[in-house]
Amino acid sequence: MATVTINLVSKAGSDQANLSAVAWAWFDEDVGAMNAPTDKGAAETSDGAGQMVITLTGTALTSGQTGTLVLYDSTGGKLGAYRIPVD
Amino acid sequence: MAVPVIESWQSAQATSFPSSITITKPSGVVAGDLLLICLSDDYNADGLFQYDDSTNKPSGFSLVTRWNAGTAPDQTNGAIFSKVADGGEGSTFNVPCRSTNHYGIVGWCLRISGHGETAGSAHKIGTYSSVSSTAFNITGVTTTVDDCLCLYLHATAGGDQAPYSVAGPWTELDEQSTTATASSASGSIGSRSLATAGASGNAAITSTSAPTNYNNGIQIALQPASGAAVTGVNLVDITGAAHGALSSLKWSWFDTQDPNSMVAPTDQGAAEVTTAGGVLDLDLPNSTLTSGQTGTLVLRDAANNYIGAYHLQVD
Repeated sequence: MATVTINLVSKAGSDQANLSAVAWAWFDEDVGAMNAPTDKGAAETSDGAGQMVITLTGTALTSGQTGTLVLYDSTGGKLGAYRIPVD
Repeated sequence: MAVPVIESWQSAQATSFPSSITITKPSGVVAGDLLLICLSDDYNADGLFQYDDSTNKPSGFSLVTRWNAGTAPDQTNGAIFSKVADGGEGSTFNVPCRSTNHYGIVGWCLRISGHGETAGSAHKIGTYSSVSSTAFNITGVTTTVDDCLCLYLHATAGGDQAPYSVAGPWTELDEQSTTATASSASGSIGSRSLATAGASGNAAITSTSAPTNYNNGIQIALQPASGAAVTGVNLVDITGAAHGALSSLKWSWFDTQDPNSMVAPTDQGAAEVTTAGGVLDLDLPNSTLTSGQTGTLVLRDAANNYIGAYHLQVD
């Protein structure tokens, strides 16, 4: 079982602490060549420092390999995409 | 939907009583592009068509429309052929003609993206116009779908009438003359977009010199690709400043706003470009969203290390 860890900050650089109910989707591929997400969810949270750790049960990537994460915080109206490596 | 786009084009001339014309393939052709070959010549004898849909045509293309007009030795033939590219086309296209009894041929090959046509088709094909006047109109067509690209092909049996101009909203793309004499092939091509279905209007062309031969021309309208599109997306950086021209953008489109509802993207690509001002237009032929519905665009510019996600309404 893999995880990815991301530190969420605002445009101004401040931590996005204690987010809840963040929807997400993880793709093993780069943008432009995506298949269906291997993992997704609707209730991810960030801790008091804005760090989010997401468990990936379906990914085929191994530690250090990079996938694409899409996050949407509907409460705050925040949407983002990230290329990040598996922990 | 979005208006089909002329992505690139090439022109050519054939002189001295040619038996054919060869036109270089436009740059960047990929499978699905519409390739349009437009020809004009100065025919020297009888009224038979120089081009057809069986022998005197570019291999693999289909005839969209043709005409001949005027009186020998100053007759003009015009023809438009098309094919949907498979991506395996050679570097040139050769078009044989029925007879060498003509002063020359001018021609173009256009690469058009975002179209909804098949080989030999056009949403609308006008009626050719033929006038012996310095100013003349190529009769318009009336489209029945939004977002058409309208084109005109203008032909005349004499380069002594060039250069040409066209009144707005039409824009001349190019003009060619084999020589600046009355015994030469000459013509021009141009286009306009038509966002709302209706009349394209006449293409009002003016010859610089008094005509010794007839001006001829025809309009066609090409319909857009079916499905949705997002257009006019202004890409800005974190400070709000426009990115400017970006190229080789990777993108994936989802018919949902919610990542937890995402399945495989309906549409995606790896070679999108913006305008010089950083404006992005995307065709989404596989999206099932209708106008005003919102999906998610994930966009990446690997060269500049930009990545972003956007909720966007389709047009």
